[in-house]
Amino acid sequence: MAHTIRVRAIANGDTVQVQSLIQHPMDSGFVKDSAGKLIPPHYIEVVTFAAGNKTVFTAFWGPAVSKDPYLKFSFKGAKKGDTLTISWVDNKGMHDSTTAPIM
Amino acid sequence: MRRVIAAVAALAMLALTGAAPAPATAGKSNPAADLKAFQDYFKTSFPKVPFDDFVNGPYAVNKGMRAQWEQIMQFPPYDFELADGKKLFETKFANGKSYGDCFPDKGIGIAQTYPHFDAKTGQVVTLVDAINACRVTNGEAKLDVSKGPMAEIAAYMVSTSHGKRFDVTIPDDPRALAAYEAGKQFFYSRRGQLNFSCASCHVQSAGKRLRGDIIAPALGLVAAFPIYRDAWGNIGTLGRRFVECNAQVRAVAFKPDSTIYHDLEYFLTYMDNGLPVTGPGTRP
Amino acid sequence: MKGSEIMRRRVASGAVAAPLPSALLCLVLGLGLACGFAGAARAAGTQAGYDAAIKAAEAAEHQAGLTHDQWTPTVEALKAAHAAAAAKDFAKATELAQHAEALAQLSIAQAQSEQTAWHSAVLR
Repeated sequence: MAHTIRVRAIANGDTVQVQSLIQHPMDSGFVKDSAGKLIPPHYIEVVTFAAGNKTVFTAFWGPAVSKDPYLKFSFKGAKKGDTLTISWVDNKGMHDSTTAPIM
Repeated sequence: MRRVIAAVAALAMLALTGAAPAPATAGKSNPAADLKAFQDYFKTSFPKVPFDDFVNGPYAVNKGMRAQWEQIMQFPPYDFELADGKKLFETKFANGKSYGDCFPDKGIGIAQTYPHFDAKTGQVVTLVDAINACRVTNGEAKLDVSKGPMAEIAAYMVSTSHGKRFDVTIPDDPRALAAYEAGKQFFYSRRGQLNFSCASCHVQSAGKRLRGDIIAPALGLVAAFPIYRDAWGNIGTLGRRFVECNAQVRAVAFKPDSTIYHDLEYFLTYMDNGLPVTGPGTRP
Repeated sequence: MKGSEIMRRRVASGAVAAPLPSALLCLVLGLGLACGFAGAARAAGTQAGYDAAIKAAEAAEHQAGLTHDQWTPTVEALKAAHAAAAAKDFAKATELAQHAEALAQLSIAQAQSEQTAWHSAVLR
């Protein structure tokens, strides 16, 4: 299911800039469908980025984050060629992870 | 004196009847001249916009929107659906054939020639029609023509035509010219309670603001379809947008695959001839 | 809840107050036409009045459909008229049907004028 994550990590000097896009409905639980029924909540709770074995970024998300969320951040301590691991877990226990080389 | 009045009246009558005949009169139709006038109008109205940039719609004419769009395009929002479209396109039907078998060149890099006129049936065939026709000949059910799998497959097929230029032809066939003229009339006719034509916005107010949005010029209007529209939150076809546009001027919309929308697509895509194919695109 | 109640009261009071100025207008201007029209509208709170109005409205909307130019507000007004008639509020239903007919006539007029007017917008 690595299909749900798009990531691009670019090393520039000693910092690495990461941009990512995750495909997820992020249903808040407050929206009704066309039949007037509430769409049950379904959203990502934790997103983790790890460079090598070290977690460099953790986000605790909730129902207020948009559909197909986009995330951008920078960190120090990794270099070109290192592997970045991205994973997410949602409130229904579904999860996905992928790896990408730092370019 | 009386004779002069009579002559003037006769002349007026002539002028009236001259303007009145239905646009279907094929003898008068000159698509090539229309194309030149249409493209020249926008080249003159937006002298700073390079010709090829018109395919980017509102982003071609507004700096702020362009900056945002360039950020968005780091990760195009239609990316996931485009990947799904590729998968669907390559999936075989129950009879072992696939979409590629219905099209020349296996369906790769051919989207710039749609819509085309089918001399056998006398109908305008859009890419969406061709995809559905392919399904029917292979014993599959038709797909919804506005969104979902259809938009995804069309998006993938269009993406393989990137860099190619629109090359829609209008053969010298009265039926083809009639379709073209019907599309042209629809584009310029006011409708709905708000009394707007397509041209009211996309020609006369191109590049101006409509609430928070910038109105895209009519030139290049269909070059980026299918589009991911933020308001939809997913990808949709041109037919879906036509329906929405009509409803926005408070007119009862036609079916997304109705003949009149086919004719409109035929006219609009012909007007984009020479521009590069850029779909799928993203719009606010 | 409270808001909608206030709205309803306001609408009701408006409806009561409405005949007075129109009667005054008839008196002052003495226009037979205007008085006749007001009279017809008042008599329209019946099933028969509604039936005639909705028939005319639907015929006009059908005509608009033939010119390929229907308006969404017409459709909404017709729907509201049917709903009001189903609720036995024939005065309101008749008014809505007449409104729908007027909108449909406007859309027909638009389609007819655009038959030739569109030529003037063409880029050449």
